[in-house]
Amino acid sequence: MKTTSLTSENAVIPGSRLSAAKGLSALYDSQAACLVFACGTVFKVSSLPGLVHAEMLSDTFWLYLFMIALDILCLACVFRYASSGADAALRAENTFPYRALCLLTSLYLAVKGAIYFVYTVVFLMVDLFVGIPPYVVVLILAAPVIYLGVKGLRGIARCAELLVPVMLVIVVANFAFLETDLDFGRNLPVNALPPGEFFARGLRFGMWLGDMFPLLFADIKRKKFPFLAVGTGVSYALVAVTCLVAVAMYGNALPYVYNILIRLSGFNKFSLEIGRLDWAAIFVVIVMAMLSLSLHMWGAAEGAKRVTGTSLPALAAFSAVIVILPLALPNTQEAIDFSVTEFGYVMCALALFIALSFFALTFRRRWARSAPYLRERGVAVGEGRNG
Amino acid sequence: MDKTSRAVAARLKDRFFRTKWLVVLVAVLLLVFFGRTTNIRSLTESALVIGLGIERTEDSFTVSALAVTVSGGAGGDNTQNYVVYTEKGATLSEGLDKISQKMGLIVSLSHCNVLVLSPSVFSAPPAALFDPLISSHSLPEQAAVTATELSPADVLAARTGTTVASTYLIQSALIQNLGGDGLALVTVKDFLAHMLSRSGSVNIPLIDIVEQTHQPESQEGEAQGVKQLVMERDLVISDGEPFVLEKDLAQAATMLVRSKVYGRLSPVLPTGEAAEFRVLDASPKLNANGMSVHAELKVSVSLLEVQNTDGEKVTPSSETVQRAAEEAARELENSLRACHALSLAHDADFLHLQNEVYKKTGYTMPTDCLDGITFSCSVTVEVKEAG
Repeated sequence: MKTTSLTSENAVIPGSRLSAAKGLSALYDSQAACLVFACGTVFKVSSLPGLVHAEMLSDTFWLYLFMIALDILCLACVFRYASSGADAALRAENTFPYRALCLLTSLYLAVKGAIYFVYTVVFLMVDLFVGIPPYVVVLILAAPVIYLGVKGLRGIARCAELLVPVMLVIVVANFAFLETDLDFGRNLPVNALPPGEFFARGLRFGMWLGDMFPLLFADIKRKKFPFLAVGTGVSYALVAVTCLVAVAMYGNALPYVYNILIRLSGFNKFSLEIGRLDWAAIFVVIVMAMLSLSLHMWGAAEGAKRVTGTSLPALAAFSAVIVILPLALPNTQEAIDFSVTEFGYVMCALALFIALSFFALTFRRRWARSAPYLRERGVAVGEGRNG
Repeated sequence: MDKTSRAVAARLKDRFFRTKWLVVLVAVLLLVFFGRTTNIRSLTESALVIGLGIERTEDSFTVSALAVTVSGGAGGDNTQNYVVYTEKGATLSEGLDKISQKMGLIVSLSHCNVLVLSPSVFSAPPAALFDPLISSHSLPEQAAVTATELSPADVLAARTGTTVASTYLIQSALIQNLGGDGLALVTVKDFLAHMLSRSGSVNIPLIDIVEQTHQPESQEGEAQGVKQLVMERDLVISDGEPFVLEKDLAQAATMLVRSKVYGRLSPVLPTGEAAEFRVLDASPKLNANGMSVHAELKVSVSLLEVQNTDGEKVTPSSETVQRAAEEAARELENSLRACHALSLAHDADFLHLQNEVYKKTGYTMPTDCLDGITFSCSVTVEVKEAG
């Protein structure tokens, strides 16, 4: 397959009035697939299994399967919208409902990004920078996140494209050389909780849905190979397998694990000869977390840009929040505790609402491109394709 | 935003990203600055603890640490010294801090592979015992958990025949089964997983020290004070008082609840023939049906030798060998029944029967229902050609 690098020049759609803007947010589906692997999975395979198990017991894996199904639904809506070209047309029309939806998405991504940042700080301080003042961790982590977030989608996508193969190899090697006592029966019973309780507790983890919403503001160009389907399949299979193995390894001790991906790497066949290889997983987790956080930052800024016409205030606000929030909180654990309260229901409802709304806008775009609509607007049919 | 200000913003952004190497340089300088100002201790300032012993009295913990200290010699030669320090503290961390002060070195548990715990320690909740050691002192979750009825400090300080430190012997004994029949490694992670399960019980290797009748002799003469660490029994930990499983029971119980078990079976037939088998593999299967559990244990062994025969050639398919295998299976069956009787007597579900019932019944299972579970078992011993 011929591969070409995507530049702002060759990414634009000829004849489009929004060519410059599109160029900055254009990416190939192969890059989007890499982003799904790096950004869509990292927070689901780090702290989340332990948090979920504290509430869901042996239903953890089954809740994961349910939430993965919901997240794939959200992802399908995102990809459908981002590859339909609807965003460009809607930006041109700039209607109030569209701007309101963008504002909502921007706020949603900003809140998620801030909480995810606190998560990252917590697991870095527990697993890596033990005994280091929090401000050092916050400043060092914030610098690349803000840099990549300001630089934009293409910078993030290129980083993901370069690093994802390495990270995939490390993660697969961790599983391949895993040596520990596994009891997959710890994922049973399926009915550890009554059905009502299952959903009441499980939907509190709704904040982890919609990690790829920033791509709503991207313009995805398709290649022949179905990268999106394969990338999504591999990524979510990894999430499911990680959860399955985590419960099989730790059982009810899982809530004491802050970052399962890092702990998994400690149990390898060569731990007595060459050490526990935690560093490999730490590299993967930090890189993936940075890419995800910067993608959230970019997404929040793009959403705000569609409302206010500029992304600068959103970028500044996001940068300030991620630096100030973890330092201002007397106990960073509070942010984590808050994320699994009723706040989770709100985030779950918002995720589904945003995904389905943008999906509906795809049809609106189709309708807008239909002959009756164009005739009504006085456009000769066949000339007004690019809105 | 008008055209001019947009152009200015774009130019500033361009200029900012053209200076990315400056940004990288600043980041490197920041890292170097924090690296220099952060207290990174060298190896000679640390005491690498390779074994940790813990005892508990009513209001305090007695912590013993077997540490390796590295001292630099002339010409770059380093010498390693193994020393055991013991201190008391209201918490484990206080005990470790006092050891640090006493040694004048910073205690690090990141290389600690063996924990020797006195039975009194298990009156504390298991998570409260291990979580601080893992999260605050970097204790590896792969560390082996063992128990002793003697002083843990004595076990750590014991001079054994072939290794420089007792913990190396304990570690290799549990991994390579040099310690006793059917004993298996219980890591910190496995200990917590079992203790926090529905059954809430686990059996761990119990270490005894035996004075050697004959001290090892070398060209320099007879060695003095060399002791033997014996690991043939298990200590059962549960909510109640810990109790000891004697050799045969420990072997049968371990085969039923662990995945990797080695050791030997030594049946003696009523007709006087004595056989010796090496255990190759044990495949346990527990099936729950309502409130009854059937345990099926398949043990694969290889024949080592048969004594007291009439001189006929003995092969794995010989009648004597088959009868010996049946006898071994019968003995294991009896041991399992004895284990079940003990578990009922002590209300300690170390055969994990409640876990099996829970997998089938889910949230409707009554808590603490060991008395109500009926138990049956069948054991087959298969003699394989190779081994």
